[in-house]
Amino acid sequence: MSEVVEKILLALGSIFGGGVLIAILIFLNPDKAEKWWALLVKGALNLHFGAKALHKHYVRHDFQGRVNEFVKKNCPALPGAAADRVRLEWVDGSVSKQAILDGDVVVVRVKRRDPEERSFVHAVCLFVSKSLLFKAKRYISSPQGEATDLLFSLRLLEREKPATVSYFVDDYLHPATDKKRHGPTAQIFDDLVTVDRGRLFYSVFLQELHFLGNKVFGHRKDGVIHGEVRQLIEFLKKLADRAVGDTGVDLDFFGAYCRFAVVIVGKSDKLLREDIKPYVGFITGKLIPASVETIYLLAPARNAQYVGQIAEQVGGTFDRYLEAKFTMPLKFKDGETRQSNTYLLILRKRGAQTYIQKAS
Amino acid sequence: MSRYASQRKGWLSMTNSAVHAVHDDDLQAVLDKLGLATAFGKGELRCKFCGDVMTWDNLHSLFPDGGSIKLVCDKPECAKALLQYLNARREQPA
Repeated sequence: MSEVVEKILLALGSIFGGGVLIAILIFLNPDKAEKWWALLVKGALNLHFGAKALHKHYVRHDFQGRVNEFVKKNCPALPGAAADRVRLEWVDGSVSKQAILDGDVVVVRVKRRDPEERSFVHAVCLFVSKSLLFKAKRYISSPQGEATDLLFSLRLLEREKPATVSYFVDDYLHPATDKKRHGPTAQIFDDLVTVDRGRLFYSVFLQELHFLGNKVFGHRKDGVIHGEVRQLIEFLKKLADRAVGDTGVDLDFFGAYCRFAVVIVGKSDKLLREDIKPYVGFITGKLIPASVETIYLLAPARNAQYVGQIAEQVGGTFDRYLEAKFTMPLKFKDGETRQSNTYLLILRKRGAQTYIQKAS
Repeated sequence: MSRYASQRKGWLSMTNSAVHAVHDDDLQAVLDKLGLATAFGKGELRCKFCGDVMTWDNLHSLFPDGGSIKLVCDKPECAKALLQYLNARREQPA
């Protein structure tokens, strides 16, 4: 008897334990759980089980799970995304015309027969268009905004639903980057792909546009802003191509609206232990007088503690904005590229200028 | 893609964002409710951007414009034109 009870308790414990484990996993990673749920529903659909009712569930959870997971994982690498959670909301027969007009609601059609999952691509493109850098897009040129959206969408689809990439390329990317018809967008897209090879530097681009979008202009000078964004891309292209130890490439960008510097804390542990003053002196002696608003402190992961010490030393002027550890490709002078464990600390100037006066 | 060990909420101005969609199962009801079903059925509605007649096969999306609901077909140039149009409309006057 006791053996039977023991087995029952063991079974219940396993079931309960498994349930708890699943609940914990869902709690810790809701986006992945949503993707798994979508896959389960898709399996049921393939077995023609509850096809009519389940298709909407599948589309919704598949879209939300994949987009949210991408944004969550890559927001630091792809900042400027204005949403940390996307929701797919169904519009049905209960909708009113007035609600569509008042809410300025764009409704994408989802086809039941959609073997290439084109609806997923349409929804992603709409999401990116309305959410990525939505403030900065008021200021930058249309081709600059379009190229930025295209690269973000491409990366999202490559990672989350590779099977749809060819459709995206045919229907969105190619029409927009056909050089004969859309010269500026094509050129900017090419440039951004180059910047993106350096991984971090595409993030810097999006981050700077995000800061730009948070500024309010008393009298906007679109031409100046467009020109500055062009210069920013050129600057970042050079940074992305820079080899380790190359001192010929500028690490600071002093534009009219974007003013930032990349400071590489790359000295050996021994030297840093003795002295971080050169870095602090550079920031206080050159960057602060030059009204730099953002500093990207970049270091091998082993130097993270020294980066923290540098940040403390300039804490009167700059706030810690973000810290992150990641891997990024580093080019070496021998032509090789190797992945490096990297530490990044972004410092943002306290009270950075947000209102640009007419006379500025 | 880079993997970050930590991030602060301050990295971005984060908000929830909704994408609205209509499923084929509900499309007829939505067109009815918006007062478009009859004209749609008669082939009287055209794509906002290319002017093609809208059908069940080529409907890509619908959106409000100038107090009425416009339809967009699924040609690549029209899908692209929609995104450009929405972005341009979002721009503030200088």
